[in-house]
Amino acid sequence: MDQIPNDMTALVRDVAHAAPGYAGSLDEVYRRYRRRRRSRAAVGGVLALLLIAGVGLTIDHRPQRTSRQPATQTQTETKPTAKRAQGILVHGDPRLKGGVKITGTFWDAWPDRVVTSFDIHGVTWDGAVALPGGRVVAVERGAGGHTWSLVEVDRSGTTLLRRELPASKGEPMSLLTADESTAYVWQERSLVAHDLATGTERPVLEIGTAPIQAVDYADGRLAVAGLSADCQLNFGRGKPIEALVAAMPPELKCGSVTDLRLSPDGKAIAVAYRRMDRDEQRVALLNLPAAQVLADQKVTATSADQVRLAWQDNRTLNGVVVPAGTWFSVKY
Amino acid sequence: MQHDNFEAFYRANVDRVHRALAVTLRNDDLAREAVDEAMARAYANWPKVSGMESPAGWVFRVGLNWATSWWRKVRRERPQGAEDSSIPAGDESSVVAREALAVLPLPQRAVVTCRILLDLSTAETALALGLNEGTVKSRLSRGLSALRSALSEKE
Repeated sequence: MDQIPNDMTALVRDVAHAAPGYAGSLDEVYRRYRRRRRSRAAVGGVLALLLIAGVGLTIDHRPQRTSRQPATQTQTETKPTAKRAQGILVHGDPRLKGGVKITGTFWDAWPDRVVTSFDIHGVTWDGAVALPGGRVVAVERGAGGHTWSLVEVDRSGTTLLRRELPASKGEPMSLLTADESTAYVWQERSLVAHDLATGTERPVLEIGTAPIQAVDYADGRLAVAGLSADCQLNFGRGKPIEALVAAMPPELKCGSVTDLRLSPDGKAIAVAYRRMDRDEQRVALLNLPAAQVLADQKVTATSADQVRLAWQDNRTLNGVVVPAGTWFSVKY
Repeated sequence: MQHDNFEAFYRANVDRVHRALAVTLRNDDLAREAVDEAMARAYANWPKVSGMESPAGWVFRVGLNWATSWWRKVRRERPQGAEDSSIPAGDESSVVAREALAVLPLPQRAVVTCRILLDLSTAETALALGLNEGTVKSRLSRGLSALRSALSEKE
């Protein structure tokens, strides 16, 4: 289709003209440019070369630093890392507007699919992760948009932890993932491990300037997908982490990766992706490190839906389509 | 000079790219941040970007990628309906049109806005969004069809 009817053209232009005009400034553009240039210099040429080569991961074992503010309530009980099924946190109640109150529906008990609901109050959450046992860890943005706090609640909605994270010069922070003891927070271009019990922080890795689409990190294993057109996946494991890279197998015709999840034993990865040649969402299970296809399945979802993944065990993946709420399983 | 003509490009294109992103993303604040970020990257790579067939299309794509990458992570944790909270209500016809556009999936909205608001051809849109021309045509066709259908439902 090359010709666009005039009434459609007029309609789209009317919507655009009704939108508020650009309120930024050239000074802001130059400021962003200078900040990018400084950040790139700090990251260093070696990392940039690694990233171009498709590796792009580096692990930092520098001494820990402590969060500036203590928690108002501290989780004192340190639970052992249980190899339970992974959980999925689903938001999307269409009745809620404005981002003031967020209701989380947490699917905790595998494989019985018992759904436990609880309410969480927050202004804006930049990432939330459900933990086995019904706890939820989230990063909450302050009202001014310049402060971020780590929040942990239990399934009853009781706040177990609220701790302001160190400021990051106004740069956004986001919770990427978490386990029983540690929250992994994205700050500028580095991933920081934040100890839930003590508040100490440890830089884990830096990834150049490439935008990240999806990440999973657990038990020293890391998987990152960027926005590259070939759906490149970056993996790391071991101590120190050995970085390696793999592209999605070409026969899958991946257009973009939307979510990924490492299996509990780290021998496979589940990847939710969109096809490059049609509007279709699929989930592939790949073995590691070869990234060979173990299973590949179409997901009944529209292009606007999100697909969230969690492993039931080392060979069975479950997923949910949001906001439809339909579940599916893939085995290998 | 390395950044010759960047300022003129910025002044000529920033508002329309911003509006195209605002319509596509349905969030004016995010669109402003995205266009600022994309313009900063264009400035950093100006010798290369200025030689492209459609520098404005490149800025749109970079802004869209930046916004959707960041936005997806945040959006997962937000309730439905938070997207368009920053867009003013406007008159009745513009509200109806905006709601009809909101029905389209983001990839279709991106193609529609590239074609109509940035005046890109099918080939230029394909280049700007990293798609093949067939995908651009099918997304445009489906998008306009869905748009017309949504409008007729509201009338």
